[in-house]
Parts: sequence; C-alpha cells; structure tokens
Amino acid sequence: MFKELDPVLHAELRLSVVSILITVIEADFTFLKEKTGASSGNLSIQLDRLEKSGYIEIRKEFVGKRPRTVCSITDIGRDAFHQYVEVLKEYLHLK
Amino acid sequence: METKKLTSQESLDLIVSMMQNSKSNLDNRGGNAFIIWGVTTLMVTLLILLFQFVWGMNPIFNWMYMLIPIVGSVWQRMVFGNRPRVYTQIDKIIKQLWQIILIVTVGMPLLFTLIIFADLDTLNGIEGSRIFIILPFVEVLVVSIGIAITGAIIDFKPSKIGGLVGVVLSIISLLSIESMSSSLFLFILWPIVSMIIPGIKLNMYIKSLRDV
Repeated sequence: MFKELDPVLHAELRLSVVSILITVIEADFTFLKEKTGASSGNLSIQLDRLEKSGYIEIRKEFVGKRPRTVCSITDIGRDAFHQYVEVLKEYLHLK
Repeated sequence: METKKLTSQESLDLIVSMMQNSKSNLDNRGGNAFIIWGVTTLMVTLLILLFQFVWGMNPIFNWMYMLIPIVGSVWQRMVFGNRPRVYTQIDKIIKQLWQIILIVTVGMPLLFTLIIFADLDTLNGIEGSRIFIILPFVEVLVVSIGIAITGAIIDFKPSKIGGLVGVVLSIISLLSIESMSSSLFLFILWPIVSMIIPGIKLNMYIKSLRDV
C-alpha cells in the first residue's frame, strides 16, 4: 500500500519553493519569484500556505526604505520534504 | 506557474530542476565584489601617490588606506543593495571569512597606533614607529590568503592564482621593506593582479554559464 503524498507539497509552485529553500539558508521573495516564474499574487498565497503549515518561516525586513520578504525552511518543512521524496521514490519504484 | 497537481515523475523532475536552478545561482556578485575592492584599493593608492607628488613623501598619507574599507563597503552596498537575494552555505562561509579579514586588516594599524601611543620606545629592539613599515606586507598577505581561500571555496582557479600571486607580492614587499615607493608600487600591481583580473574573469565565466 502506497503512502499518500503530502498535499501541502504536492502542488507545483509550493514544491518548487520548498525545493529551492532546501538548498539554501534563505531566499527573498524576488529571488523565489524569479526562479519559479510565478506571479507575485500566486507566490504570496502559496508562501502563506507553506508558512501556516509550519514548513517555512517568513521574515519581513527593510533594506534602506524598501521592504524585503525573506523565506527559510523550517525543520518541519525539511522533514516533510524528505518524507515526500521517499514516498515519491516508492511510487516510481526507485526504492 | 499555477499550483497544479503533478504526477510522481513530474514532481521528481521539478525537484531536481529547482535544486539545480538554485545551486547554479551564480550571479555576478562574486566577480563584481572583487572588482569593487580592487578598484577601490587602486584608486586610494593613486590618490596617495598624487598627494605625495604634490606635497612630498609623508607617512601620514598612508592613513588614507583606511579609506579602502569605508569606500569599498559603501560602494558594495550601493551595487548589491536592491538585488534579489539568496543566502547559501557558501555565501555564509565567505561572509564570515571576510569579516575576520576585515577585523584583522583594520585592527592591525589601529593596534600599531596604540602601541606607539602607549609610548613603547622599543619592541624587542625595534623602534615603536618602525613597526608600521611591515604593515603593507601583513595587509597584502592576509587579504591575498583570503582571496586564495575564496577561490578555493568557489572552486575558481583565477582567484586561487590571483591570491597566491598576492602572497608572492607581499613577500617581495617584505624584501624591499625600507622603500616606500616599492610598497606603493605593490598596492598598484596587487589589486590589478589579485582582484580586478580574477573579478573580470569570474564575471566572464558566469556570463558563459548563462549563455549555455
């Protein structure tokens, strides 16, 4: 019996964001937008969902007078991602 | 990008693609940082040369080297301030390395000054004020080692070579320690060889990766 894929991660944009954040310490909103090619509105909604699930942390800061949103993955998010990849491997018979 | 559901294979492909995408996040920050610090060092040296040409040799002009960290920091902040920012483990290691180098290179002349103000006439037989003449050697040596280590961390050969050439130049400056003009010559040649050329090469390398 296959385990169910985590519904929070099993969506294109959210999975893209977490895949990026897993490889870095932190990334700002503009960087994530650039790398995923998402619109600002859509990205904001998905970041909010990831934050509410406890998978990422969002920090607001100012650089000069400009606001900057910085995202980083949490331990919960890291564990969920690794678990997601393990389940994926089972689905694809890679294990 | 919509938040559509994915097949298992699509999910895996997406993960691999995004990880590679963020890992190859080389923008021209690295190259430009080398260029900024190299040009700043060169300009300050030329300014000191100009002062010496107009008003004659005076060791007090060497304090103008303290302009390098000030101008370099402000310039770097102006250039990088509003860019999309990502912070990786490599960025963290390089940042901490250069924080230590900054403390050493700025702290050293201040420490030497304190020694002189403490009125220590002799240090192991060396006259207090004469300890300043080893400063160009120490500063160039420390920064060059930093450049070579940075080159090793980012695995970029021109930076490693540039740093090692800087170490050789610092030793040459030690051998010609009595000559103020030789240390000025060092501060003209060194930023070009160890910072500006590796910086330009790094930018060219990053551009070639982008064009692929």
